[in-house]
Amino acid sequence: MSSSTANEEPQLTDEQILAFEQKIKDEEAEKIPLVCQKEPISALEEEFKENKPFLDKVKVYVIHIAKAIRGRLANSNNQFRKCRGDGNCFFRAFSFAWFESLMQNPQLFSQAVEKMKSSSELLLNGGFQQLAFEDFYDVTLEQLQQIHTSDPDLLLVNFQTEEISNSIVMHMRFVASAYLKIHSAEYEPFLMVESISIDQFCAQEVEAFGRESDHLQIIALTKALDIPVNIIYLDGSSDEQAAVHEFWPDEAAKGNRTPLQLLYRPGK
Amino acid sequence: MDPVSRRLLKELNDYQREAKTHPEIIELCPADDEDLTQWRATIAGLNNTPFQGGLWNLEIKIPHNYPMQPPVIKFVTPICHPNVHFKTGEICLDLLKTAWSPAWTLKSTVLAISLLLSNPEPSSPLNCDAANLLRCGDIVGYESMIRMYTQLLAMNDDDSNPN
Repeated sequence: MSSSTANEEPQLTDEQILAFEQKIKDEEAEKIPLVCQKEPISALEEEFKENKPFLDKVKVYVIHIAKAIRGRLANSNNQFRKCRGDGNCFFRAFSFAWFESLMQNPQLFSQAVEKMKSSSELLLNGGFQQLAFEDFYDVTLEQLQQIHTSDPDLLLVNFQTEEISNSIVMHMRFVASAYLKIHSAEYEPFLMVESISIDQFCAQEVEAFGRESDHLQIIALTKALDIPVNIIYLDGSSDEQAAVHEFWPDEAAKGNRTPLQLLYRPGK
Repeated sequence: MDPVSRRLLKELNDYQREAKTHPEIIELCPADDEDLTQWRATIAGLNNTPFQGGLWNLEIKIPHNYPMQPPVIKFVTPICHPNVHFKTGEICLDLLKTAWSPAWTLKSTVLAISLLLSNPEPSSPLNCDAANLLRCGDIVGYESMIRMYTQLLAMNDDDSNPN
């Protein structure tokens, strides 16, 4: 009897299973915008008030942010934004934080535009077909070029618009991937454990839309674009302080520049 | 024009411009002028393989968020191959599922399917009979079965395929 029931279970094809998984992810993801309005850090404290390990770290995080922004424009003080947890959050949060940081800094802005223009060359060197990347590249460059004339609200609106926001995510993924491919000799040893080639890794873990990022993706993107980043990692460990992972494209220049601050937290 | 259509038109131009460099793709185009999200392709079996002389039509469905998501491709002309379902035409190729990268194009994807013909992966079969012959090393049996089905199903001069 039981074996005959087992036989009657519907046989799902791989496509159906993938489509089902995607549907669950999409439903979950659509509960918040791709990039949210600023919130005070106290909102995080409120959210984690029942959870001591987190709460302690949120408090330390506030101090850390205060240190990091000393000497910087104060209007971003003690605020944070949420980003939709759809697997693209690193690339999206990085891009938004980067673009936003350029708004009031004409010198960094023009350097960034030059860097972005050179990224098409990087992609060609990384073996990408022009056809496959030029649409994403065009959108990203256009968005970057217009930020110094537009207001911050428009930047947020554009990052909340799927077509624009996802194109930027894709371009950043390709940039990170091209960097890893070009510097494969340096990074391939890190993949030995997983026994996949750098090309496989790039296709499945870097270029694949919606795939979570880890150290290699972050190293590649920060180096390719020459942008330092701090990732503040809120987790449930018993340590009092949240771990801060620093990514400096150039160790020698450490300290001369203000890194982007990205907060990584579990949950939504 | 929406970005997906713009991208697809670029791909169409690119394929047409370089069609001669890919003799294994006989055709690759939208199935219908009005709708860019449904394409069809025809691939040819390569010489010196048991697929030689066969022509297979493929149906290509393009998702609304292509190329973030892969196209859904299946064989319309039946084919005997370890990684293709004989009845449904479903293809088991990691590229079309978990290993998809938005850096691929329809042309490179169809080329990869064409490459799959002579590079079967018997460890993940959709056609167990074909895969079992390969797994037990019966190359002669495998190749003659492929040749038979190629002649029977993929060499009709009058195009008996539904599309």
